[in-house]
Amino acid sequence: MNRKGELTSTQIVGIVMLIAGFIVLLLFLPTIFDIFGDGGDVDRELCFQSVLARATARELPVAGGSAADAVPLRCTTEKICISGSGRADACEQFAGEENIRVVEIDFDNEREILEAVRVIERESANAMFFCWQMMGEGKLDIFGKGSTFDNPEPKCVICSRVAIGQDVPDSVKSRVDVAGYMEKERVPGSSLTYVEFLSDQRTKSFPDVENFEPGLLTDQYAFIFGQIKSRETSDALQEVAGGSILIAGAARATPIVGAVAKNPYVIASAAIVGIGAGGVAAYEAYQGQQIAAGYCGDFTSTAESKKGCSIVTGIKWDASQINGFCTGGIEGEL
Amino acid sequence: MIFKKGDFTLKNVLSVVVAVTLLALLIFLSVRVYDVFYTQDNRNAQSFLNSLTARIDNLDDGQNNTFILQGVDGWFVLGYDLQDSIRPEKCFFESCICLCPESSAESCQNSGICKQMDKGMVDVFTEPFEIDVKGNLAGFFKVNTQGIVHRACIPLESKLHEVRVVKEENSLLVSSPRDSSLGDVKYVQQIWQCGILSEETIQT
Repeated sequence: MNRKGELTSTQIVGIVMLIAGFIVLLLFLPTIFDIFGDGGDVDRELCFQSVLARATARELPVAGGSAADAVPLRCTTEKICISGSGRADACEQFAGEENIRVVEIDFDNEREILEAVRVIERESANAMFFCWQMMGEGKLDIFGKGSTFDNPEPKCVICSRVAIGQDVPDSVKSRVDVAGYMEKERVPGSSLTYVEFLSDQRTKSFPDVENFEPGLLTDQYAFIFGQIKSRETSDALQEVAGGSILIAGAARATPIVGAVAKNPYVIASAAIVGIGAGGVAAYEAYQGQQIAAGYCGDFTSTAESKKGCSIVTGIKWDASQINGFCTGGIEGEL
Repeated sequence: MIFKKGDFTLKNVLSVVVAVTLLALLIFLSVRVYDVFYTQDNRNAQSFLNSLTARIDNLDDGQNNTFILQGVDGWFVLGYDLQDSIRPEKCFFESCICLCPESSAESCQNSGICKQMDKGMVDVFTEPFEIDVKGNLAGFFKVNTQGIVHRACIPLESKLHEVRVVKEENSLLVSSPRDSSLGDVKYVQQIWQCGILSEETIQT
């Protein structure tokens, strides 16, 4: 006879089966995703989960959240080849590389050319949108603020590379206007345009799109997420004093103020900070803010820019240009 | 039914099953945590080497090309062929390209990863670069030296690196131009660890 509170064998078997089922699910989840899901979706989800894990670890009051840097970002750059043949080898830019998603376009007549232009615009806009979404929409502190005496430097993740196949004629490339597309078209599953969505609904002004002006489309772009965060003066003083209190690194999206002169395609959000006073650490923090302002100044108002920002941008696939933008380093897997 | 002392009851069996299941879960989670925290550099290094060798394989003999690869912070690309007296044993009797945490055959043997190459000669180097005429190497080291330095490895940072590959019938050259956008001080510290391929310098 069972006493009150005692587990019955049926209950125990149920619990065991539940645990076993959970383990099986955990072990085979990636495989299940691979079989039934789109590869790109799985990669984006894995990346997002790792971003969340990193941001969550940063909030932990362990060693000032510095353990978060040990949490790797599982973000793999998506490679998209847009070609007429529908074959990956049409994009020599990806020669010797694997896992290329090919998008086929036709351009035999005027109607097809217009459709091809639209496909390139849509793929580029989506690349930017997914990048922003995957990296937490600027609301997460992914890279932290660096050590006490380090100047803040922007760190990046290369979300995707979009290459135009050699077989795509100039009649298509010269008409591509990604900025225009993003101002007019709506994000999948949303009533907002890309610009509205990415700029937190508060602005319709869009930065200059130097690299994306119609007719200036180059053969490969990288869509990059970058984040820089200046150290708060009070934060710096706490660290010097041996404190390990972490002020939550959440960021909020803010409107873009004015046009961007240097870089195309930029969406920024300012991090929440306060300003303290005095001392060497405070001076370092002040310097950091000046650096952040230098980096983000083009994207936000002067006051906001000192706090740092999160940016998603499209840059020509060029090592010097990208390294120049991501001076703090690049994470993720190419 | 009468249970004798020492018999397994249903409760005993279930306890064992639960214990084994939880142990398996613990081991699984430990492996995952280890995997996440301690092998990221190795994973990145493996990815770099795979990308590099895939591109080399993609070239025919007599061809050359420049590729952009993502570096692994603080690691080195090194090349060994049969002419090298000190080489990682893991290359066996073949030439090889290695990614190693330090610029030495020992480091490659112990902690690096290598891939064999079917070429008689493999040379991995940083393309010759000029030392500042004022004697400030990268604006940091106060050395009164000027000239050209040619180092026998490629130091990496967590940035993009241009890697030039020249593939011939019996030789393979893998080189990297010095990228001015890379962090200067760190770069100099790293490149000084590389062996000297050639150096034409004047001490003043």
